[in-house]
Amino acid sequence: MRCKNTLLRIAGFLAGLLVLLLILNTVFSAGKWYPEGYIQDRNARTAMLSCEEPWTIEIINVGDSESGMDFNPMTLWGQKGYTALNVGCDGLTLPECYMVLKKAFRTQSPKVVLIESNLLYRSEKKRLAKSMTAEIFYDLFEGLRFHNVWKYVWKERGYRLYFKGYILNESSDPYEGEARYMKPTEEAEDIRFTPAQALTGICAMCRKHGAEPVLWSAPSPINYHMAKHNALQKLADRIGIRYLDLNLHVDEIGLDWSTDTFDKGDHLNCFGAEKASAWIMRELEGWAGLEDKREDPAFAASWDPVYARFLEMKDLMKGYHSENLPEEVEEHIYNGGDFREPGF
Amino acid sequence: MAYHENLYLLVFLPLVLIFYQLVPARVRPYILLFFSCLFFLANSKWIIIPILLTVLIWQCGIRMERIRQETEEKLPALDKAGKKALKEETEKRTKRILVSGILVILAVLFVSQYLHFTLENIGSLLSPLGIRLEIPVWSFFPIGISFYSLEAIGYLVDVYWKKIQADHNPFRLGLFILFFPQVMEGPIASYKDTAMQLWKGESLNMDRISSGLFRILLGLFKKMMVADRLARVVTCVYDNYYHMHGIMVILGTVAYTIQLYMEFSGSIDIVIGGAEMLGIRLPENFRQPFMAQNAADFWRRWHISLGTWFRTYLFYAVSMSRTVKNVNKKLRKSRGKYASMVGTSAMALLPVWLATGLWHGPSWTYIFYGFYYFVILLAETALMPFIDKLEDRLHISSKTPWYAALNMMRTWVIIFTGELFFRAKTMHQGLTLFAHIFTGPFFPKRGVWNILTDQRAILLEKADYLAIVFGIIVILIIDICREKELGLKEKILQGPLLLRWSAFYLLIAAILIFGAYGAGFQAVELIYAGF
Repeated sequence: MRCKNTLLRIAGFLAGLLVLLLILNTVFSAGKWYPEGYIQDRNARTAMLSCEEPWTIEIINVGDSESGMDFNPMTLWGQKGYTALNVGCDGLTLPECYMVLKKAFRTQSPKVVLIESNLLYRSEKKRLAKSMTAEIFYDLFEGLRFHNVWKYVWKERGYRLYFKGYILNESSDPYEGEARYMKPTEEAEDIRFTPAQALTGICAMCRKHGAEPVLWSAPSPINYHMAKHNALQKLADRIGIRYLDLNLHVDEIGLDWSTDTFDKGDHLNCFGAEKASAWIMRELEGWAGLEDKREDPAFAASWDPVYARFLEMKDLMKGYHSENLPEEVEEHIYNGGDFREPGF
Repeated sequence: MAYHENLYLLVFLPLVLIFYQLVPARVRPYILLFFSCLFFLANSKWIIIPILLTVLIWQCGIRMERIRQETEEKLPALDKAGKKALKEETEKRTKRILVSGILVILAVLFVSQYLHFTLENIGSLLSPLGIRLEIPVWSFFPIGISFYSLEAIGYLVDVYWKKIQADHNPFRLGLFILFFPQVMEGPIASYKDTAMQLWKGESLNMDRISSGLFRILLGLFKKMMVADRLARVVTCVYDNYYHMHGIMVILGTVAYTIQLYMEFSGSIDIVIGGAEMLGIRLPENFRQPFMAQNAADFWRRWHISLGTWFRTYLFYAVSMSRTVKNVNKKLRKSRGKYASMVGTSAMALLPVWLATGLWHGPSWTYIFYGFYYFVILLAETALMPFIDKLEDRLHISSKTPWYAALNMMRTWVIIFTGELFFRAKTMHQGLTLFAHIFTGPFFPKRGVWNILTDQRAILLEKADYLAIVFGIIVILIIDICREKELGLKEKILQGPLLLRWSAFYLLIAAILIFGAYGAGFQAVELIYAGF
């Protein structure tokens, strides 16, 4: 009897806790706060995913800042009419990658999932374990992920000019190192067991949902060299997925390291990202059944205004990073106090 | 896997509780030992160190006991002189075992913590002579070694002093050394108070679970609401110490002191709460330290278990030593009672405070910190008779409210000054920061608030400061209630269900909504886990 009472009390307490968490889920839902410009941290792209029109995305790009900065979905829409979303963000870990895709597959059925390879080198076991536990709870109770929204009571809101996940950045700081940084070698830089297994799991999940996973490496003399390429090629071959290494095609892509990077070759700016995205697009053309949606009125009605706004903003940016705009440019961009994210 | 992390709180601890409850009582201690080993391995590969220390103290304890037993058996057959000789011989042999045991423990501690520091300093002494010392890179750090080394020494001394019987069960001793909630940050427990509790294997009980959970939530509140936010202010001030104005140094140091208190006492709350859920009462480590009336009082309220350990095993041992007693006698004869009191206090306090400083780690700043408190405490001892007289003349006592408040604020200045050096990475950094308080411009041109809310430097927003203030007020109220012994926690836990559960849900909601976690925050490692 006493045991039964104890169990009942525990169950009652946990039920109350569940209600509290569900309330927090409702109060801090991404759908409510993201379109109004209240979610601007590294969770913004996950929030964007919650707000995207269901079953409309054909390509999802995921990875750390290399993928976030170097892949521009607007290029794909403008040139070929592919609907792509960039959910890569700073320091994304493999568990975060897995969970963001898991979440994406609930409302989208992409044909291609682009996975930027730099996240495979964030492989510290303890960090991965911590990240995995956190992600499981965020997945169950998404309100916790966006709990920092309360701070906006004392903060001016704004937006980072996300264009289907791409942040516009026109600033440039040239890379002055060796242009031929992919020097031939037979060596392969070891990829640890845990990230390799995690990538296998992510690819299996993609295929289960009908998406073709593609591993790619963003062009970056700071982060890549031939030994890494060799290891990544081996891993891709072992899993049986396509691997696109843009570092081997810098000339073909047309990258100019004096104008196309904003941080000395670590990441690309919007000029470099446009070239890199166009190259990826050409590689994917006619593959995995990607379709031009520009003629579809439903898609055009939703995507064309975003693209138009992107082109307009590109004109206004005048060589700045959208997170570090001078006041006069900022005023011009935010003219009329329209804080809503483009596309919502 | 630290105590404040989700992996510990949401996975590890619940798993331990479930397994602990499911198995029969006699198996429970082994379950605790198993999970303690698992916890240790999740944090450090050097589990062999606590295991070897356990075997060492287990064997030393048994040998001391065996020697004494043999003596007891032989005594009846001996005459008076023989008895005396045998007793002296026994004393010598047991002391030899005790000293060897302690030396081995200290040697392991020295190699893991202080060897690199010692070699570095020898190297810098030799470099003017043109001798270069090759110092290998050291990566030998078994977590919690400073904590369980003291526990192991305490056990050996207690057996030697016949305060406890030697434990013949190596698993019980192993659990005492490795018990997962306390292995990383203490509190430093005595064998007498904890070992038997650990071995009881009592069933879980709803009252203890509620009480433990409440304590854990309070600890999380302290860490996530206040400590992890203040860490950013502190890092900014100490990393840019050359450019800091006087007011920023003061703010940074006060912020660090509050951060350290919230973090250390918060993690101890989690530790004690976790143990309480398993039916084990660990000693308290904090008792409202900022309400202390002087430095001595502060150390009776701050890191209590460390202070108790040094008082029991070092201060008393030194005070009772033949040398100190002789000096005391001589001084009393030649210079009077007052001089002997100050002299013997100095002799007993110096090793205690140098050891306390060094215990925190191999750094000159910690040695300075220990020496700083030695000077302060000695000054307090020396001035005490004069202050007592003055209080009598002015008809005031420590209970006079304005005088108590004045004493409390004076103690704050002492604490903050100590923490300034404690946090500094080098003595140069500490001295530079200290000098900046008195030299150069005191206020920055940009304004203090502008610096504190600078998104590029400190990364805290106005709302974060509001959360800090709110957190401090809540903890201050709780601490005042504890100081006045109002039994706030007990009232809540024994109150009606609605009040009890509301308190839990409020705490949980406050942590989940206002806590410093998720995007924009990086979890701050536990400061004392590095000692």
